Amino acid sequence: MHLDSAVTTDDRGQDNSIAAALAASAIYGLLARCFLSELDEDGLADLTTGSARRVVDQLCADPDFADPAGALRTRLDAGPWDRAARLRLAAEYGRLFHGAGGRRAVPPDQSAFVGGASHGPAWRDTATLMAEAGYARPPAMVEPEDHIGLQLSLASDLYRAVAAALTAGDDPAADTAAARLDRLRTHHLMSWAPRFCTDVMTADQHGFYRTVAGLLARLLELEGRAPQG
Amino acid sequence: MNRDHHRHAVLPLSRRTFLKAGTVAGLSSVAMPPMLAQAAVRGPSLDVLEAQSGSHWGPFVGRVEGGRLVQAIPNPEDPFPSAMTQALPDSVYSPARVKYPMVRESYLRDGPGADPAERGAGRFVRVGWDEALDLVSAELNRVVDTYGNDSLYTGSYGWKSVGRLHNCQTLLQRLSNLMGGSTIGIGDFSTGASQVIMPHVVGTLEVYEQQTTWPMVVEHSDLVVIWGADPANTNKIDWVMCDHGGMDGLRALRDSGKPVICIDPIRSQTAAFLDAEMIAPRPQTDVAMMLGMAYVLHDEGLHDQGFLGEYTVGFDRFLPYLTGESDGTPKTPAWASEICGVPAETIADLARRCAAGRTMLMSGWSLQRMHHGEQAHWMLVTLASMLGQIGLPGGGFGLSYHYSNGGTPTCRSPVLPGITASGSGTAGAAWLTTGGVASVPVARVNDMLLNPGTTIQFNGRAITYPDIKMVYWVGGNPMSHHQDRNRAVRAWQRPETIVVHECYWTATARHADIVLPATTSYERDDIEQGGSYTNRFMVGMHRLVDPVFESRSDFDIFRALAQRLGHGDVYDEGKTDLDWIRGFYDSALEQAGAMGLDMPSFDAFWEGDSFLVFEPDEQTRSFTRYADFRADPLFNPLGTPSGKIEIYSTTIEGFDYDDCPPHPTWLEPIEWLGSEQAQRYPLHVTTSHPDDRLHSQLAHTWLRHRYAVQDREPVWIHPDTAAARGIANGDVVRVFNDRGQVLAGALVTDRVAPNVLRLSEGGWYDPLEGGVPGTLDKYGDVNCLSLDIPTSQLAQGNCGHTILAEIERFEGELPRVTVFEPPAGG
Repeated sequence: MHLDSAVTTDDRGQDNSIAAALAASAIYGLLARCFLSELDEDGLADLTTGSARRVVDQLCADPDFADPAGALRTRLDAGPWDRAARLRLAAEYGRLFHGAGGRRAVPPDQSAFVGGASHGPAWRDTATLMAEAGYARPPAMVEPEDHIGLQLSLASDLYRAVAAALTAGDDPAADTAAARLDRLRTHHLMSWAPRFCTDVMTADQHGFYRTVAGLLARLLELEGRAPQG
Repeated sequence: MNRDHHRHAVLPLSRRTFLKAGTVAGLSSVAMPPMLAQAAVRGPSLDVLEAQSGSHWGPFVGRVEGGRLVQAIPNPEDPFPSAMTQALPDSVYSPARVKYPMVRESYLRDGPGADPAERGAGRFVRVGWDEALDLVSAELNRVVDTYGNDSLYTGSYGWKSVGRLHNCQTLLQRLSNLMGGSTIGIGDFSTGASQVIMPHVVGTLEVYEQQTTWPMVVEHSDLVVIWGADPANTNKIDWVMCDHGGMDGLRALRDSGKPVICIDPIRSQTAAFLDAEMIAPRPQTDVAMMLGMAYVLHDEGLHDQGFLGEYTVGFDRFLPYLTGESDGTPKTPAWASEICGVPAETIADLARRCAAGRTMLMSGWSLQRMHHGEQAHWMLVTLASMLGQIGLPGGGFGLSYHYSNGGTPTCRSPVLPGITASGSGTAGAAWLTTGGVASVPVARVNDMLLNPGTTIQFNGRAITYPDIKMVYWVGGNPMSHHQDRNRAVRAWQRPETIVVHECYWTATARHADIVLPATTSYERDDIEQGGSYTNRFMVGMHRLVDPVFESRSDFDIFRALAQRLGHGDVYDEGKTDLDWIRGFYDSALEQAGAMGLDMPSFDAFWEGDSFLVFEPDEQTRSFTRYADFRADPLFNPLGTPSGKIEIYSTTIEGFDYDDCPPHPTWLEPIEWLGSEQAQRYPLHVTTSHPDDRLHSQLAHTWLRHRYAVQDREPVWIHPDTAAARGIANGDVVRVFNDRGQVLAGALVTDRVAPNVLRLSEGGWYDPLEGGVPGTLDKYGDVNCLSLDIPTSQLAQGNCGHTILAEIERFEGELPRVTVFEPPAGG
């Protein structure tokens, strides 16, 4: 059953909305983990055997996501993720997103991707949005707030906030969080992330980030297709 | 519960829901932790502040909005602010910034020496600062303990950022000295030949000396000859903070209406600004042209025999060469014309015009950055000696009018000290430093890496190359300034470890093993003076914004390394950055007191405008170089063995170098337009200083869009040269020779002489295949084409202008320029 048909205000509909929000939060959270920084041993363990893996597996069962999620699962299962393999993956992250060279790099923050320099208007707006929602970058994170990993993190946590508000019966809070999600999607993610995904899929020489970008592109495509409130 | 309001929350969400029910059910039970932290503040700061800072391009006020540097506003005291200053905010937020400590993948996996061919391939892994510093300190210890101090090369060289504290090259030497020293560099790339031969000729470096002031030139000179210099371009920058006083001089010269002749194969910015007469010799033939002029002076009795007798030695031994008595070849204008391509009558006429009145010969350094480059300035001084006007107001010669605004009157001001390599004493310029456990001319670094144990000559002594195992480079970009890029790529595969501090992913950083992200000047506190020759400004450089990403100041990095190496507080003497800055200022304050100058206390300075201006006095305004020597050569002798200008050097004679005879001599360069090589590669490539960057600096900012042609470095080509090859303005072209190949964008213009190309130095190396010698450079790094040979055994300077090449339209699939990491979707 597609939740488009579950536009209700009864308890069942509310439950569905909560579940849908939590599900969306999980997918955004999965993608955020992949893009925030290089995957360390724990991160890869989570992707291969942990909760993140459960998200991947679940998406593989959904026809809308089966292809990109399946590609990601195949890539993850192509391990072992020993130190050398992790270094190779980290080097690809560095080449793609830290500007370390090679044939192509893809600026991972909206400001640099769109305007050629980091910390531009998109950074300020995302930072404001994040702060208004009561969030901040993780302490060890020094990338600007319009970094793809942070925007995805914000989406994940805003979906989580919607779910929490609905669960608590705090409708204004749910409304506010949903409005922030709209702003994040409209002014930020939808305006650049699809092209970011295309570039990553072209530039990635390793294969892992191609599959992650493919999954994100699919997510954004489906989000874009869904009716707007 | 307000059900209406609830509908607002639920409806949009559920309508937008894009997941199937089964997926929702499956995912909603997955326990994923929150991604973000809880916010401590409500939104980013919106504070606006303005604070003083400065750069090689001049002093400016940085405007910061909400923690972001948004504008660099030139200080009102700057008479000719450089447009390049406007790009400084862009340089802070460039996608080319090095964000984190990075270690080459193979190096991190397998340790020192691992897969050196991977260098340049862009495979780096981010590590934490602790891991990076542990790696560097352990490797410093290993290399020194295993191979000795001379196997560590710290001759780091380049245009580091301004600032008396964060002088990264001195800071590196400070660390090296704590470890017992290392191999360092001698000299520089700007004046490698001249700075070695000039002490033999006039007893000083000359190239870094104050010039007869512009007011004296404008008042007294009847003719100004600008030979191979473009001060209107190169005076946009200064080794310290630029005062731009040279443009005042040029403007006054233009307004005076006095004749100016530019001798240059390029119609430079200076020539255009002054509407100067042009003489365009073949590149690298200046010595022959000067000899032709000298012949006329002597032949027509226009030379000043009195001056030659009283103030010089050796003219009598030079004369037989000039007249042909010693070699059978009189250096007539006709002879010179055959070589330089300038009509004999023009050469003779120029000599006569120079002798007819007060003439100032201003030379740039391009003349000596070529094979046998020592001869050019030696011959220029000889020519000036024959004219007999050295030491007279507005007469003689000058080798530094184009550098750091030489000739701008020096101000009465104290001198700011700076951080030192030893902890005590500070004198002279960093590039003149000798010492270390071994020292090698900077232009021979790659030769040293490739040929350990080889012995070369340098200025009368032998130098044996040490076997370098570790290279440590800060504040420079040798993969830009060093000649023969493909040889450089091979050379940089030799050391076991290469460490680089950088703000940006330059080619040098890409060829390192460990890259440590350094702050720009605008992310740290410092202090600097303005005007290398004037000391006109004293500027507090305030930290405008927090360090971007994980960058740290060089001082902070070295301090941390020193602690790991067991030198604790010795390195920083237990002082904070501001303690050091205060100390430098207080020293200047003490000097000012002795000079009777008013200066505020440090606190008032730092908390106030942080900008002091000093003025010249009548004595410095009317400074004439060599006036004291001319007035009394016995009491004011030059620093040469004879105390006089040495047209013939017995010291150099004693070296017995076949490529640097004891008097100025025309020596054919290894390749030039008159050589056999020109049959195959018929175009000369000049490597002029770029118009809109400082060597390779700022190439990654929006400034590049002002000059790039199809995103490539522009190559100037004469219409006739272009037409003969079917090249149109705006074409992407391939410039090539046996040493390398680059893409560039054709700029067809008659500002460059036929058969000459202008491809400015400093274009970022952008190899099609990183780490692979010979690969196509996609952007236009001219040093892919240049020769890595010494000027001579005397100076071992570089030959950056000695290039023959061919050019053709590029017909293949055009590769994208990627070195600047432009926004893929921008």
